[in-house]
Amino acid sequence: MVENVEQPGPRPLPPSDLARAARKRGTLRRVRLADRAAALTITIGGLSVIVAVLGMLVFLASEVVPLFYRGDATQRLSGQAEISGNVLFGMTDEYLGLATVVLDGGDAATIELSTGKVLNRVPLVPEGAELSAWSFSRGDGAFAFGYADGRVQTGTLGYAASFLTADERSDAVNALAAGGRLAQGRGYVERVQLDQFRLVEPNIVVGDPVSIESGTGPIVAMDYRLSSASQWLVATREDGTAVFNLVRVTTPLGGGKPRMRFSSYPFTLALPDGRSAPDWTFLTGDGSNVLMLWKDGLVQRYAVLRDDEGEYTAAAADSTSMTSRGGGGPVKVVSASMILGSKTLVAGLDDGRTIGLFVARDEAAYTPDRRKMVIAHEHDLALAGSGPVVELGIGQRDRSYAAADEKGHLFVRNMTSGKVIVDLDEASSSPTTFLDIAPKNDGLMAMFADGSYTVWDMDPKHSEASWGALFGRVWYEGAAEPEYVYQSSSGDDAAEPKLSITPLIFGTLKATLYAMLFAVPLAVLAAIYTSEMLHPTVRNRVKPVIEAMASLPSVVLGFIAAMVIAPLARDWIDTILASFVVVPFTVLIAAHAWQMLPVRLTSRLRSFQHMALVAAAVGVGFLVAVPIGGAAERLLFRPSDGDVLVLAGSYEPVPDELKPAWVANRANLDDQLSRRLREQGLYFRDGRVVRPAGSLSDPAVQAVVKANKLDRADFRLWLDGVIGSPFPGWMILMIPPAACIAFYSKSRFIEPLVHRVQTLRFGFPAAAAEMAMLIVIGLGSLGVAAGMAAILSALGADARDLFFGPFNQRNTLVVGIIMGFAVIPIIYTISEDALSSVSPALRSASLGAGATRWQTAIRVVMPVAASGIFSAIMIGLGRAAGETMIVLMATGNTPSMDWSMFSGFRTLSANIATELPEAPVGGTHYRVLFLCGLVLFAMTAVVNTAAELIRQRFRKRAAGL
Amino acid sequence: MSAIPANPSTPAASARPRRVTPLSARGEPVVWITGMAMVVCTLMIISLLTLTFVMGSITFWPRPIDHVTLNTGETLLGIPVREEAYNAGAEDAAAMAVLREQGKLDESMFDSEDRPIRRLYRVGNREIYGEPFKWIPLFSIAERRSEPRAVLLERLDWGVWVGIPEAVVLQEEVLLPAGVPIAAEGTTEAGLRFEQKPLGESAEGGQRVARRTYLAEGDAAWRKFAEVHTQARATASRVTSMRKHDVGDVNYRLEAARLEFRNAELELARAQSGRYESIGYAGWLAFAVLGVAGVGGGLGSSVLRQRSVRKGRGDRMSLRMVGAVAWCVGIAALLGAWLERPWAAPSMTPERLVEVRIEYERRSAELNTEYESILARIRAIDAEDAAMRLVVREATSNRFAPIRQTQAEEPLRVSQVVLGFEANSLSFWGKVGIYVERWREFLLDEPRDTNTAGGIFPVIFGTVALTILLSIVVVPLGVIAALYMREYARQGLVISIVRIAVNNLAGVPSIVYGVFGLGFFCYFVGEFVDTGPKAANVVNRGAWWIGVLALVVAGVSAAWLGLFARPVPGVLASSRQRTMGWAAALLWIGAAGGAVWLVLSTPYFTGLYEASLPNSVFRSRGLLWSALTLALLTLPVVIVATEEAIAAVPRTMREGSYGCGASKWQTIRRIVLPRAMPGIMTGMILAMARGAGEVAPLMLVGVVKLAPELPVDGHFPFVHLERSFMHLGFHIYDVGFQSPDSEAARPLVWTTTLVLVIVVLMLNLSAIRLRSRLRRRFVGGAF
Repeated sequence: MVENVEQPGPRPLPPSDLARAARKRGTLRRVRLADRAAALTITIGGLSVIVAVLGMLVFLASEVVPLFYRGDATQRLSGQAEISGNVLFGMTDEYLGLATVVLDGGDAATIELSTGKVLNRVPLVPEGAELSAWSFSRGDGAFAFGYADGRVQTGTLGYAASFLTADERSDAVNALAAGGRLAQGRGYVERVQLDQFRLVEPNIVVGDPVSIESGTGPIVAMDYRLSSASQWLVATREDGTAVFNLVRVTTPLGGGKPRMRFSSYPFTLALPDGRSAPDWTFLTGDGSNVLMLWKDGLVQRYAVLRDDEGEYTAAAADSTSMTSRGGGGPVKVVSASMILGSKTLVAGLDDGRTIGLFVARDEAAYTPDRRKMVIAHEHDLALAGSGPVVELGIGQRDRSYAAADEKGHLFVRNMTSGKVIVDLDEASSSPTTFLDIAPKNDGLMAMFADGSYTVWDMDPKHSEASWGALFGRVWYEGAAEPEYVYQSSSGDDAAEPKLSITPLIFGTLKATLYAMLFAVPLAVLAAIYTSEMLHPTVRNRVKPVIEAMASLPSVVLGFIAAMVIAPLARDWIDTILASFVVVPFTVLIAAHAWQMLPVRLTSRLRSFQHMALVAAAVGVGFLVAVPIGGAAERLLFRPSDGDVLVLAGSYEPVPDELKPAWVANRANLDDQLSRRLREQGLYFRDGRVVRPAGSLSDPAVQAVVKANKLDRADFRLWLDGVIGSPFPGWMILMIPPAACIAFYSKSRFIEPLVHRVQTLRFGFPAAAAEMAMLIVIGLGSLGVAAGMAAILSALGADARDLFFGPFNQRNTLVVGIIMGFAVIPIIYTISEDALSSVSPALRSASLGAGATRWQTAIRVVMPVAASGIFSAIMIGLGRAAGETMIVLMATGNTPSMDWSMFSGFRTLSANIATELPEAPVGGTHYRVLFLCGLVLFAMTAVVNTAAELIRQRFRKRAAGL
Repeated sequence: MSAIPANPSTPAASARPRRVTPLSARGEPVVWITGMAMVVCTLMIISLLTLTFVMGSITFWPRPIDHVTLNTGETLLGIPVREEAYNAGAEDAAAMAVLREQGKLDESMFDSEDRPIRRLYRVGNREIYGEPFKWIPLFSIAERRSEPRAVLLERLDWGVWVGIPEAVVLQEEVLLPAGVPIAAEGTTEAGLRFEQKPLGESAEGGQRVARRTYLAEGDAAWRKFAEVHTQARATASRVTSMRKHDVGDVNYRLEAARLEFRNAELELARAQSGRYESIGYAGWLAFAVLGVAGVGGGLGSSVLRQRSVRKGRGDRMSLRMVGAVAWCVGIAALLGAWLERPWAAPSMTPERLVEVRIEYERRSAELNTEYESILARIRAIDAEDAAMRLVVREATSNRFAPIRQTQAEEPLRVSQVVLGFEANSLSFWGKVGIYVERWREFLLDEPRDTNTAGGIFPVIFGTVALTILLSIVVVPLGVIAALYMREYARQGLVISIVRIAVNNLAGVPSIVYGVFGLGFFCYFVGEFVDTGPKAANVVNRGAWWIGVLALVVAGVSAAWLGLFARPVPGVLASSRQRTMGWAAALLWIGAAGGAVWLVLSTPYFTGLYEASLPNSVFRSRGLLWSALTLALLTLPVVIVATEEAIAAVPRTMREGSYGCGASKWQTIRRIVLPRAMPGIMTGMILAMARGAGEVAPLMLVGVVKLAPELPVDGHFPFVHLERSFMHLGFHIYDVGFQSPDSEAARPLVWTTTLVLVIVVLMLNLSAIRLRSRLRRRFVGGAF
């Protein structure tokens, strides 16, 4: 390398005055330039590679963060409407150009929002009629009026948008700039694009007042709902009677007012003492519930039931009461409305709170329809000291609602997630009388008692997503209690997305746990064997074989898992479970038998031959596991006599006093509850609690049993909870801890005793004694397991609630095993590296001091390599957590939260893989999937960093030795 | 041997006769347990590989066709696939009861649990059965025999056809002179039978007749088929190739012309919109002055420095820095002034646009004529191909394989048969021939029938292209990063944090890279490439150039501060140096951020593919983004491997090199890198293996079920990295789990799996070998 340097030798450090005199002894300019260029390129390149890689985290986070943003609203305009009187209800158009409000006089006035002019005013209430009740459903614009004379009238409020052709445009319209608006007729024209002019006009259809056949007297509260299938109208009269009506509206051919025909089903309210008729009446969206709301917070529910003839009856179901802060005290309901989907009732109270209430399914409820009302949400107006919630507005895109108090302070909130979307403190001298969220959720309008109004442009951002909604339990509409649900999309538009990623995190952890349970012992033990017991030449042959396993792409493993392992596991589940116990035991027996041979013989064995012997033992173990598995199934999982009798149809209903109270009037019991019933010797058949009757010796019963093989032991039926007791489940689970206890007590207590006898320490007698001990301990641990299982069963616990469950073909056990395949080579390689990098000097010293290879391995090598092995396990853990294709292909991908080894699950990674390609860019769902990625990133980063720190410490320690 | 007891209180000790290791010290049982773990691991991998190899390699072996007669009298031809026991329904139970009374059931029809066994037959003929597979319970089979004439046809579409060949037919439309009577049947001069059917009068006054000439019938049919098959396939493939290449070429040129015109339109719109308007004379003047001043200042400072050096006042760093700043600013300002010269002609005017439009219309008319002529040629060849037909009858309904599902009375073209053979009459070597032919087809053909038949050439091509592209990207990046971390960076806290981060990234789940790739490359970068910076971000040209100047100043000052902060080896850094270091770092970060902002707001870039909107080109999933994503994914692998290899180069060699006077870069280039080469190669191969086997991120960033085109073709720029592609791993997932006909597809999944496993295994084994060679070379001599 001297050709580039003119003068070898050190370059003198010339004092400045010598510099001129010194001979030029520098490096060649070319070399210096190349060196500098390389340094610059490599530094910048290296740094930017590292920064880019770290930038990944930043980018992921930047996609996720907007999820937690609050929405924002900017005031677009405010004005003064030329109307007087109180506003009952109304709606704005889609583009926030018009607002049509119905005044308490019964007139509908259409206001152009940019000027405040009333463009159109139509009377809806006929002459002489006295308006006493009204209802309005924002989603479809359907409204209804009830009159003091008992008549009702329905109609719809809406807007019609059309595009103007060239002939229909006036010069003024043609002169509009893009985005400009101009009032025209009853509505306005907007120039949408250069050549598109949109005309928006109010479209109000109203029918004639009709009398409802049943009952007379003023109507005080009513509700009118349209659904795709039917229309319903409920009216409550002053005298405490109410009527549920099925409405058929016919529009005459050739136009004209629609005509209504009612099928009326009157019912009387069960009014509590001293109460008059309710202040509000609501119908839920499916027409199956009528809610009566009083100003003091009492809610009564009437279930609408349909009998076989198609007749309806409304039966009092349950009631609940809104309570004041802290509970107990009286409240005052000021406003109430139904939220999008008409399942949730939102009520505004005078203390500034809003309450969300809906009807939830509850199997045990003593109501005709096994449902009950729950007060699920309670929100506070965000500012302290806010006044009564006087007005509510309902969002048309999600479960959001707007609420305003008297002082003009208003907010928009999502009912389910509770997220505050917008919080405006718009001080106004007069109370809010009308509040509306624009149909596209992109605007907000409030009108005040003095006729002034304000319009905001709103960006709700991601209203369904909040910290609580993403990670916590959320009380979704129709659920009896808050729960963790992930259900990003559904066929039904009215259903809300459920975005709790907790079940996905749970699935990831569960998959990881089962994979690690399988992989860690195998990989670490195999690494110890390879590094400590095998001759180097054999080791060099064997190691690449296991490392080749790492090269199997996970998609191949997933395919094999789903196509080969899962069906095999279905048919051989007894053998597989048995082999976890039988194979190690067989190998132990073989090892003990081997010990009994003379040392002269055994010490000649080469490591490859030793491995072959072990392999033979393993093979025998698997062969033995087949009959043992079958026998264990027949022994443990057989149905009891009572099971067989009930399965054969020989049972009788039990008297009520024997029926457990919790059964209540449930129509169905889930697996868990029916198992609980069976523990008391009772069964549930066709909605009744029954007990076995008759006798198995009855020939008729025997014939049925024989024909259907009902007395067959069946593990899968046991899993489903149809047969058997909890005992065998606990027995299976208790075998590993029992064996641990037994082996521990052997080494701790029995061995010292035995070894006192000198002859039992060496040679054949010792080996024979060991063998005897092994057999005793094997049987003993079975006994201990049975004992523990008996205790646990007697305590009333059932493993089927926890670690077992109904059998799915694509289950956690299969995923655990196949994911083990993916993880074993990693753990194995790194552990083996850690073990074999322990200084050879340590090993020689130990062996030279007379320790056996085994003692050297366990007492000298293992402690040094322990942290390396630990870090190997951690890295394996990270890999298992992020594995995608295997779980995607080999599990059912249902997000559930149970520990059962026979159920499927859904992991974060599989969720991303299935849903991200379809998620619209920038939407809530898209960002939630990015959150899944970020969580996964964080989980693995924590694990890997820990592993890396441990490994670095280990390196230092190993270097010191 | 000692007579005196070591401890008289324990009489046992005195009895110790020999120095034998106590049994418990040998730990035999635990050793066996560890051995068991080893055996189970090995067993698992071996059985898995064996399974893959066996299942993958038996797929293409031709299997015999059974002629089955059922108890109901129905007959069918099918290939037995597998058998299984099942739970009989009520109907089957009733049928079995009847048969049991007749004594027609025997043990072999039931399994050990007394459940009936059924056999899956591949019956093909989807036009008739709907399902190409049929479960037949063993008890319902009355007779099963081998039919020597039965053939299996693998057709271009609609799967296989199993039947008995009947005839090879020449079907053509002939023109009979007017007045010649049309006989329904007849014999040609060569003695061939023909059938005729009138179609109507032709324009020239003759009669159009559809004539079906039977070239060979009965046993001779199959021989005749074998004769004409190759020729027919060649003709058909010519048609396909013309459709694909010639028509595709014309379409491509049409689209190119349209884009050219659209680009001109967009340019005009841009020129008129004002967003990209020039900075005007005043701005230009300012830039020009600044540029001249900067360059002048640079020259001046350089002269001053020379002079001060000559006067012996040493090298004045401050002057040097001022000079550098002045040079850079001056050059940047001059560049801006040149780009923004206000007198340059506007790029597009309405008049010019009119010219472009006329040219475009002329061109597209020309291309349309060309298109028509190609179509005419295709039709001619296709008519020739359509004449040669094959009649193969099916066993049950006596229908023959139709040309199309809707035309049951027309026999299929000879060219529609990809591969046909008489499965029951094949010799061993005949079977080998079919086996080899099927493998050839599998590896070199395109998939057919929604990927359930045909080959996987595009899949292999996509995988290989991706892997190559990925290694082209990842190796230089990885090596540079590793070199920086090992050779240039100061080994301290920062670099060990970076090392942890890199190792961490190796453990980040691949799907996370997919998420990142989709969000960043496909949507963010892709959109930038397609349509340039977002309109809202674009700044006007003056502001942008001022930003450029600021960036230049920041960059140069950061570099200079960094120079001051560089510590003297072996001396603790002074507080001034540390401050300078921090300042330099902050400036660098600011400059990097500024550079990103400048790129994202540049008024000079309006995207490469704005014209093709609303179709996005790079703002979609594609090969390039997949390769980049996987490069990021495999970067840690390369970095770690390279770092290890660099670290393994003995210090003495480096010191020797330095001692000979070599510079740092020379040492790296001539000493370190050659030594580390095997390690770098290992890293690259491991990265390629991982890339080839990875599926999850690809599902998000670019892989598709069926890519219409390969990423390489004859159109400029020949390599189309924006196209989506197919991939072996995803093919397995897709065909195995998303396929409409999973039973037919499963054998192909096994063969695809075999191909993938072989590819990945080969890559990995070579990496393992390289690594062990490397270790032997440098480590050797351990205890």
